[in-house]
Amino acid sequence: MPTYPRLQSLREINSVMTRYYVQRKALARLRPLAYVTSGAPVEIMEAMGILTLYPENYGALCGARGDAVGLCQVAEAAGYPTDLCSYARSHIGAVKQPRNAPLRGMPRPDLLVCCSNICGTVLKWYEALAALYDVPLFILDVPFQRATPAEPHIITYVVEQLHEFVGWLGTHTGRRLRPDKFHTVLDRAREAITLWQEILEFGRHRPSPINAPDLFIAMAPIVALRGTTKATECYRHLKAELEERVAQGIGAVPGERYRLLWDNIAVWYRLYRFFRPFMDAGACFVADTYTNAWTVELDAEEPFVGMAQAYTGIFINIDLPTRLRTIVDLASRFQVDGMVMHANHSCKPFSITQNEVRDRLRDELGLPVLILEADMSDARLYNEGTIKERVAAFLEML
Amino acid sequence: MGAITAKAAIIEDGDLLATAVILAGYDRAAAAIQVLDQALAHAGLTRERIARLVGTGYGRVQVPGADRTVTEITCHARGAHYLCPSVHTVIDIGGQDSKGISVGPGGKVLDFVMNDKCAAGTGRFLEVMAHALEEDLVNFGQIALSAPRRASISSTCTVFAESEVVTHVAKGIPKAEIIAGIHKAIAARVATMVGRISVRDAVVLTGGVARNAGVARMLEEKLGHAIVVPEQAQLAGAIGAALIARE
Amino acid sequence: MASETGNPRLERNPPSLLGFLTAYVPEELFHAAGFTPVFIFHAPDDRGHARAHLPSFTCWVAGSALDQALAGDLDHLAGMALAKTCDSTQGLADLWQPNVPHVPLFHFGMPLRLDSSSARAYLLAELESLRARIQTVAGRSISDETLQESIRLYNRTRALVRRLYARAASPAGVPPGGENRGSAPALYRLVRAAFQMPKDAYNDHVSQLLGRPSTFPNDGGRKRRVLLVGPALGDPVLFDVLDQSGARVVGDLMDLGERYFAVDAAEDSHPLEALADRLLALVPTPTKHHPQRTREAHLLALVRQRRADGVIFARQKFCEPHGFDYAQMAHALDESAVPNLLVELEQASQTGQVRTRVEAFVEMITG
Repeated sequence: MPTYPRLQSLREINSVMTRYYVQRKALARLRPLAYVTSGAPVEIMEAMGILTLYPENYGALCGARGDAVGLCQVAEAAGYPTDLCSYARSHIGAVKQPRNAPLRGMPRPDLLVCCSNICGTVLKWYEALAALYDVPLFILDVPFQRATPAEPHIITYVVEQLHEFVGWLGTHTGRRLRPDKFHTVLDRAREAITLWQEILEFGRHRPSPINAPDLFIAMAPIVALRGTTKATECYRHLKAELEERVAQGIGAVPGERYRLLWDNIAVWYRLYRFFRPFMDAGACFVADTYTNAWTVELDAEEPFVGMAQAYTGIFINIDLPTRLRTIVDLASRFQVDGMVMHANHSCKPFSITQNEVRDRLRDELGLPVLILEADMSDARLYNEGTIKERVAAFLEML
Repeated sequence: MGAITAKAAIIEDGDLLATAVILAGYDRAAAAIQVLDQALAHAGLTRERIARLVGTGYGRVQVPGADRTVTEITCHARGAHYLCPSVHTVIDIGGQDSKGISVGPGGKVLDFVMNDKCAAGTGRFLEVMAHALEEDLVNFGQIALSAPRRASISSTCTVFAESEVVTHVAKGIPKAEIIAGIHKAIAARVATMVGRISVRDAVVLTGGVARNAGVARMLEEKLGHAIVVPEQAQLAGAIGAALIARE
Repeated sequence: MASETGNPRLERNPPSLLGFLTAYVPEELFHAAGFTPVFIFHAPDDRGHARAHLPSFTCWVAGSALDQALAGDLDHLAGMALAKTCDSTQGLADLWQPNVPHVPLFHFGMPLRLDSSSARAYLLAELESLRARIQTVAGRSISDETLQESIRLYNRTRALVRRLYARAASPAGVPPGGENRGSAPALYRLVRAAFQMPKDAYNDHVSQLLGRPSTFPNDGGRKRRVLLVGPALGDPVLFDVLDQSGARVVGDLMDLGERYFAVDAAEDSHPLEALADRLLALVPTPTKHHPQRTREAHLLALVRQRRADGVIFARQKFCEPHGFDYAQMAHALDESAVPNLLVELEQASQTGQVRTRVEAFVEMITG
């Protein structure tokens, strides 16, 4: 049975994230707490000293801990259809029955902040939360970027809403956005994002010192702790560890034979188990589209315009031709031999155009692509038998 | 007139005179006539004595001579109330569908939820699994209850669940444990569906699968409520239809 | 369409058809450029073309449009318009351009928020942008005057449809044509026709029908009064089943139903502003948000106003916006002790299954 070298920094990140939840629970008694979507401009809240928590991250946690199915059933009993996003179902289930939820549920929010750039589901999810908690809800309406670069009137709309957002936060918390604090937070965010981008680039090495499941664990700080010094600290350590591996020629998958690209959100309840057959066959996932989503560029000159551009232009919110070019570029630069795509029942934006991506990679780069239907947190939708067979067949193809 | 069996019940002045059950086969109209004749024979009556006839179930429009058709939901509620007057929740698990019914005074329907789109949670699920394990459905429930452990079957889909069962067999998991896992799975599926309506005592189990003690017991565990399985559980729909015919 | 009315007087011959999906496309803008907007309802049969492009968990409303397009059924369209609403139609918009390149796509960025001045400003900018794009594709300009005319025409349609609904909810309760076909199927056949016919021909036809006195006797209040909530009018089986089980539809909160025709566009203001203000004033569909004007409040008010005995939610499988809404609104109805039913429809909905649920529900509320 082969053993795979484990990255020490991931342990640090795991404990940082555990403490993060505990800490937020404690601090929530002293500072206002907002639930936010993963694509929200959290830097503004960080600068205003408002605590943030991510129900999406919690949904992933429910999936990873095997609690999602039970919690989804709670939501389903309350009338939520089974084909809705499993993050939302798990989280709503956790709100209704915290005793069965990880960490006995999240602390009550004072505010809800929903940014529509990642999907349409978050609007409904947050409306449901607003009804459950009876707290104020801010919706940041980020239109779809159907042409890149974005049309000016879209950016104008988002910028105006960002200003409105600051005012709204002020009204509900009594706090102000101080320019000096804001710039500090933006600098920190930029630093963390730069480090994250560098970490992702390590996958270009042969052998790659990092594998996609490692990235799925490592990404938590860039999502949930963006703008803090903690995130930068974690990533400096991880970067150093990866540099060390490269210097010693250590690959995440010893004897790396195949380099693969992963698409869509992780299968949280099978985080490493899913990748074992690949690793055993010498295949390493050197890059993925999900963790690449947090590589937004934040403009220093005009922070509100910069944020509007960054949060409108995220991967999942841009036109298909640009997304295709990004993926082809990723596949080329990382010199991949194939791609595995998770057709995630819970994420239509990520999954709906997967066949186009497959066709493009096949036609333009001659790469084999495997599409597997499953779900990110709802294990009932994971068919072990079918997936095992298809993965085996794909590995033989490489 | 169900998908798999046809049932008939004859009532006079609120008393149950006779019942009958046969396989429905392909010719439902013929099955309806046949099952009614059997019930009449048991009661010692002839067809002309029937004042009103109500057809219910999947094939309710194929019951010849029916004065009226009423859905099996309404009929099951009335029938279960007749069999168990303290009923407030009916769980019906038939060959091809399952239902949860919230019952009010007099056997009136207050709310209901149905699964007729998916084999999981119905008798068909057990049938497919029994076939896969080369077991008789008659003993299925008892075997499930005898197992010390229950194998895990997580798929909501019957086809996927069957492949899970095959995997368990290949791994050498004892058959009894797999069968226990199958019963746990169907109970979980039904419990989730029933969770959509408020579950209150007495909870009555009807339909063909009611006779499976394994399902009944595991459903009790899952719901946290005692489950009543009347002697004539399979006939609740027909009895209810007869009572409604009387009104 | 010609068979519907005999020999319609079409002002454009042959009509330049503009297919559309979603309930937020500003039809009048296309009409003013010489297009005849027609809604692309989902077809009951699946030709299998869309499956190579869409995952199995895509709703059939979007899936069918792609399937029809790939089968060549929509080749005659001069364009296809979609407003930003849900993820599935956004995906469809993404897939349309590479796979159906011969039918130009119009993507209209309807804002998600309906309550702010910045949303209105953005909406106006989008309408300007759309007008420019339509003019390019159509090869002609859209003057404010022409747009005003189209607005007036559409307002007449809306007023007529409101009268149809009023008839359905009234004591006599039977819309024209209902004598032979039953009230719900007749009503929705006419509402659906509004999305499939040139408006001037439709207006003539419906005016005539409404002119006829209703001959069906008052049902004496025996029939149960039901409201419908859901996405589109694409599933006629529901209306037939409702009618056969002895229920009357007295109103709806359907995306393309009553709410679509409830608000007119102002005829005395700048036409683009009139279009914008109408879109903002409508009761939101599930993908739009107005903090005060909620669907839940509207539904509860409608239940009271129409003295509804029950509400039926007809949801397409895999439709997230309506799915979440159902949970919220059913809960609100439960709290107000209003009986309600969920019917889940999909590409190959089984009539028997829909029938059983609806009949059981009607039996339950008839009690």
